[in-house]
Amino acid sequence: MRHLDGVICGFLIVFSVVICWASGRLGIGTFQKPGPGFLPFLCSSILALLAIVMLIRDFATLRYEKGRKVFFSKGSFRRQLLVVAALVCYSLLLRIVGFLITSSLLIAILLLAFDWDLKRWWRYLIFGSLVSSACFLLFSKWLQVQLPVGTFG
Amino acid sequence: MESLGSVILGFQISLQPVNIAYCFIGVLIGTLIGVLPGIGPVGAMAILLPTTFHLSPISSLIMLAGIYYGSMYGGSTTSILVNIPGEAASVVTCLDGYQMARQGKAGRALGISAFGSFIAGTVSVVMLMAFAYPLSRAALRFGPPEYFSLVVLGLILVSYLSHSSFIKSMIMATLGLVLSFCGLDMVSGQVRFTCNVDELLEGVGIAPLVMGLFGIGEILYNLEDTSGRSIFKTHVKGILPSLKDWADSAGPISRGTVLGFLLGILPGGGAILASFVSYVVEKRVSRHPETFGEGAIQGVAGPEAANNAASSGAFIPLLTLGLPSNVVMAVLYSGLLIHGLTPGPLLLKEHPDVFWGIITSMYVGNVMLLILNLPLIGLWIRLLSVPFRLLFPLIIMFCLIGVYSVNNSVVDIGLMILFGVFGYIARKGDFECAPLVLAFVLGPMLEQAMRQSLMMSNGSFAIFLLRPISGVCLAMGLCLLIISIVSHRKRRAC
Repeated sequence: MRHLDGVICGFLIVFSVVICWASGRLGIGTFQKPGPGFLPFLCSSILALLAIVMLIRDFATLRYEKGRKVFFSKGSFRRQLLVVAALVCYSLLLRIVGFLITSSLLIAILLLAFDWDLKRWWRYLIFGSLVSSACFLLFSKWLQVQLPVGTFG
Repeated sequence: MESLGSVILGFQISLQPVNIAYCFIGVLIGTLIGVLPGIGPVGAMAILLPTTFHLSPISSLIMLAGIYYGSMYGGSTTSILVNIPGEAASVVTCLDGYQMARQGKAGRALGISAFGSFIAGTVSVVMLMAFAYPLSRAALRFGPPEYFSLVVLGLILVSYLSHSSFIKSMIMATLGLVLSFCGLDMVSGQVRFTCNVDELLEGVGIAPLVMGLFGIGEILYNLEDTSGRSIFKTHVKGILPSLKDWADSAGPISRGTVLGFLLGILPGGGAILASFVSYVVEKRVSRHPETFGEGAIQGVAGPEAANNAASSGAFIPLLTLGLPSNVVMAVLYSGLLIHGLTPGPLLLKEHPDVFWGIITSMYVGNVMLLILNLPLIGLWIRLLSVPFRLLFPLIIMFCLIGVYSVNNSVVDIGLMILFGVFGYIARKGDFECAPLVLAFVLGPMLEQAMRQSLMMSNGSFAIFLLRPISGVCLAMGLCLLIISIVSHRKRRAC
């Protein structure tokens, strides 16, 4: 079975049910005067139906598929997880620590995620500092984009 | 005579020094984006969209449009030299372009690609001028039921023409519609699906959505394979095509131009479909189809002309009907809205300067691209050797800054990360994200049109069937649904 399709369909069905419920609470209204929940309810119902159809179709073809398709490899999953974790931390710390420090650290971690060579950490930090400084000059000074300076700014 | 006056007005605007400068910036960035893998024109336009807030509407749209058709030019360079398409529409160019490079004809391939793109781009701008005016006038007769049915047909067509399965694309389109309902309801003022997050009162932003799906998602996908790519070591010489090359390419360029332009108008059509169809057509009409895939110049000239012509054709539904036909036009649609301009039939009437300024700037942009691409091929080749591990942190930084700069909100960054992860998982599961973005952009228009139609008809859905244009659109949508189900059953039976 294409397990990933099954997982995605399952998520979509749950998501659709939640939206249907929330739309009902908003008020579906009548055909003459549709309420704010009318079209969301309709669309989420269609979404649930499509997800169920796809799930049934995948179960029906189960017997024709041999072997298990590998969707995520261990090596790349580690890298991707590090990138996502770094981005989440970045968003949480950006306003507190400021753009320059968080961006330098983020770029260093991103380079580490790609190379996976801890011995070169100092090169990553230098590159990260240079790039974040250049971005700060370009966007904040030239393009007048407001970037957070943080608590230490 | 009125059209001629409008064209002259357009050139007066597009040839202003500031607009020439922004056109140049747009096509340069577009070519760069097309050459470098890792981010496509959609992501680049989304990143630059917030920086255009301080510019005039015409200048910002000229620049954003330049990124789009510029990327069509740039994508062919990597296809020919590296056998990796820099942009999705250049996939087909890999088939024969790279083979030509292996035979020492890289220069001729690059040359015919640039000239073919220029000719197609120029002719299609002329066709755009010819079609836009009468179509805008016809579109004034469209009411809410027609717009509702057009949007429904457009979404079904986008799903039908996408690479992934029809049902998966329909799922993504429906999901996009659901996402578009987040925020304040325009009619009742009620808050919908914000999960008590104040930043979501205005809805999910287009920037976090697009940058997440096409920027962060693309990066996560590229992290699967961190091995380097090698450029075919060949000295690029003789970029001017010979007389024989012109003789062999004239037909493909002409056919590609017309085909690409018409396919660009279709929702879901666009440059990718145009290049594929052109390749198939050229192989069919060729006297030597066995040479395709072995370095046939027709296999480069036709698709490259088609994808450029399609990028011009795609402007027609956007500027005349106010309906973006693909995800790039959806970003441009957002750009127009941000600047207080409503794309559609009234755009020509109320803002002829914007309308004609954008169209004529495309001609100026095509000239710039021809001048940029041929002499600077050496520079683009050197750029290809920049390791991806240095590029991708830059792309992520630009995405983060671009998203943050819209509302100075970290919630937008969080949304971008969420959509990025979703976009990556969707790609692994072969769910295409383009229908989602298109539906997201069209969702508010669909809802408004539906509500107005039901109020007009006192709750009767028959209004969508009884009005001729609306009825025809819905009938076509139903036919596509039936064709898709029947063809799926036939494939299963086999």
